[in-house]
Amino acid sequence: MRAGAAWAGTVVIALLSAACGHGAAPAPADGATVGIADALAAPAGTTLRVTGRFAGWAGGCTGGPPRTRSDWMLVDADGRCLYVSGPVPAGIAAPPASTSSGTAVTVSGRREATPDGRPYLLHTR
Amino acid sequence: MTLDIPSMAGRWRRLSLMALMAFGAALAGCGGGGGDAVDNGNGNTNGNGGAPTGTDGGGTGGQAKWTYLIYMAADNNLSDMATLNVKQMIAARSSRDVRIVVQVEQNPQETPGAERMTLRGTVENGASQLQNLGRNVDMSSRAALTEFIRWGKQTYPAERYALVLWSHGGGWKADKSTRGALQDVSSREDLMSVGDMAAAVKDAGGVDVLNFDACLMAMYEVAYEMRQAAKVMVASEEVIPGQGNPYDKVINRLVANPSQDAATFAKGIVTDYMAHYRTNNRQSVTLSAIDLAAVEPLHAKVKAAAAGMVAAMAGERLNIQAARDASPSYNHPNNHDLIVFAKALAARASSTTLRTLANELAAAAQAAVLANDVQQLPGELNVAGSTGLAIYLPSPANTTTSELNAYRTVLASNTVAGNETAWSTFTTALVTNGGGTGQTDATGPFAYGIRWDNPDVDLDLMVNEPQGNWAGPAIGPSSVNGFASADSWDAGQAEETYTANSQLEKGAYDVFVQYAGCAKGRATCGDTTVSVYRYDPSLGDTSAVLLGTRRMSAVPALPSMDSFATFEAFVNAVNSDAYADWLFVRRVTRDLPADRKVLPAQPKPRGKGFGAVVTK
Repeated sequence: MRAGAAWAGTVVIALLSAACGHGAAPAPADGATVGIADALAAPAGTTLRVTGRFAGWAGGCTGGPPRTRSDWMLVDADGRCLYVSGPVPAGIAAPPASTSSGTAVTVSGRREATPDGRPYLLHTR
Repeated sequence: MTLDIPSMAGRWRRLSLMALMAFGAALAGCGGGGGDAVDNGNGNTNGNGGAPTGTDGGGTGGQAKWTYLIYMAADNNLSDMATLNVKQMIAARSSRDVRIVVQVEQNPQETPGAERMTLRGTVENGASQLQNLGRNVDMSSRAALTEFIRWGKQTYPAERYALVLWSHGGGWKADKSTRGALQDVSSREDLMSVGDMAAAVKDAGGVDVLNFDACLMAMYEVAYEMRQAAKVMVASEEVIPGQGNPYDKVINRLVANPSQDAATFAKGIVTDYMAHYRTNNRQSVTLSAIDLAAVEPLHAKVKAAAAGMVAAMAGERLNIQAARDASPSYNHPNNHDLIVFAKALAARASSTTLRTLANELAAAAQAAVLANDVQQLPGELNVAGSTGLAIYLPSPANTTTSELNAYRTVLASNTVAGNETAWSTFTTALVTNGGGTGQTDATGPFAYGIRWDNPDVDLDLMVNEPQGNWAGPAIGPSSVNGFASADSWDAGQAEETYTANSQLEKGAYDVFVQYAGCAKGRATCGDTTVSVYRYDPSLGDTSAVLLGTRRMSAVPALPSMDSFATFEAFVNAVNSDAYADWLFVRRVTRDLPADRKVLPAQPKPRGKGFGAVVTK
């Protein structure tokens, strides 16, 4: 029996395709699942789940890692890049391996900013 | 000889910032002033400051007390951090007794203006005197590291040598086999293996202090490889801040007392590092100094403990797992603090023999740690309780067969003659339960979703993956084999999903729904009807399929998971439909080998928490 509601299919398809782009939302709510564009625009201190593609240490984020030398990058199809400070998700090969580059991931954390204003996501275990 | 003259344009295109600083410092030395240069030279404690102590590559003005060799593999995303660290070196005091010798390669994409050429020279008297070598050195090659150390020691001979390996680091492993630190993306993507680093340093005659300014290198496995390359190793169990060492403070300490020995200097690095991050760029950090002469005795205790645990595995598995889970882990979650683990095992083990072995292991590890310090800040990396030396101690949810096999190639844990009962034998036994394990190449994603009609109720979609670990929104956003939606408890929405990866472990994925209680903020909640959806292309699904609905409530409640002797007994109880707070949806299999369809004889669901691993 097929589901009448669009919800399940939509969610599944979204998860499987790991859509990266979301419409610009200036202030996502705490706990919201967002793309990189919205994460970059979110106020510091907001707790988010950010979807994107894993890019290890070679995603093109500028300015160096915000906190630790193991900070890694999350990118989207439009070239946006967000540093994530914290462990890589389970199942993702830690950098510098390229085997996981491009893998769709969703990571939770707190949107933070460096002293010079560069945004990043602080992801703790 | 190449001097500190920025106008040598063809050979000085990079470190533009550093060149400017060098130029400024040179001006300051001529009576100018301002900035860091004011302190340089003037702050020398032995009266030798101000006068150059030799020219680059030539006369050295006599043998120094220390030559501090800093090998900066910064042709990667850390490039800007190298600029900052060299600036710190320039700001430090100078002394004829302490030579600061640098080889650095940056990344022009990360640091505009940088050439992809390698620079080498000294930093002293408030200026960097770095010569463009005219070639892009593969900084992650063993030969390049050996050549730099040899050159540094021959050109700037000293009574003692310290070597900093500056770059990315990944402990005993990164992705491929035993690679450990030093990345140069213009030459290769991988890190230099720990074995190659040790060989490179030994080939150059060794050093007194080896300092990893790189993440995750304070590991037993790394120390064992380095035991003949240096006297003391300084490194961090956890990741390190982007800015790494506070070089001005470290150099000033050495300049202030150039007669200090290796152990004293190593302990001083720990002191300066921790003091720096307690007042600057505050974050959770660890750093320790390891006496490499104590590593061989430690190795013997590691092997003895490994043999003891392998022999006692049948009766002590849960105690060993509990000790592992009680010890701090790090950015690589299979790295655990060795001493905390050993002490926890000694406290939990049933066997007197194992308790003794664990106590001896803890004592040997403690004897190797000359200094250790930890800063734990709230809401950050959890490093509290770290004691200075980590070891590979995997759990099923975090490891793979390839990782376990790679670990067998690490020198400290390989299984060649004379090392038969290595730590790798123990880790494999711990993780595999004597059978197969790890990720394989089963294919085919699938997804399950639930939604329910009473938002006052909190339901959890739970998936027990092939290794026995629980996954789902209430556990976390991702697992070894898939990822999950937001937890309904946090999101406030009466729906959850679990989606398996396209590449996943072979085995059984058991899908459950649990009535967890009332939703956040609700004091009462009542019953609810859950609808369960499936999307599994291997079954012909082209969109989500409603599998059915079921009424769920708090009672009658399934007995505690601890009450079931086996995982199958747990599944059977849930599947009996006698309990309203659990629903067994179905078992999804992916290329399950015939010999694994029958679950092992000693499955023991452990604890009520879903963080527990259930042996299947």
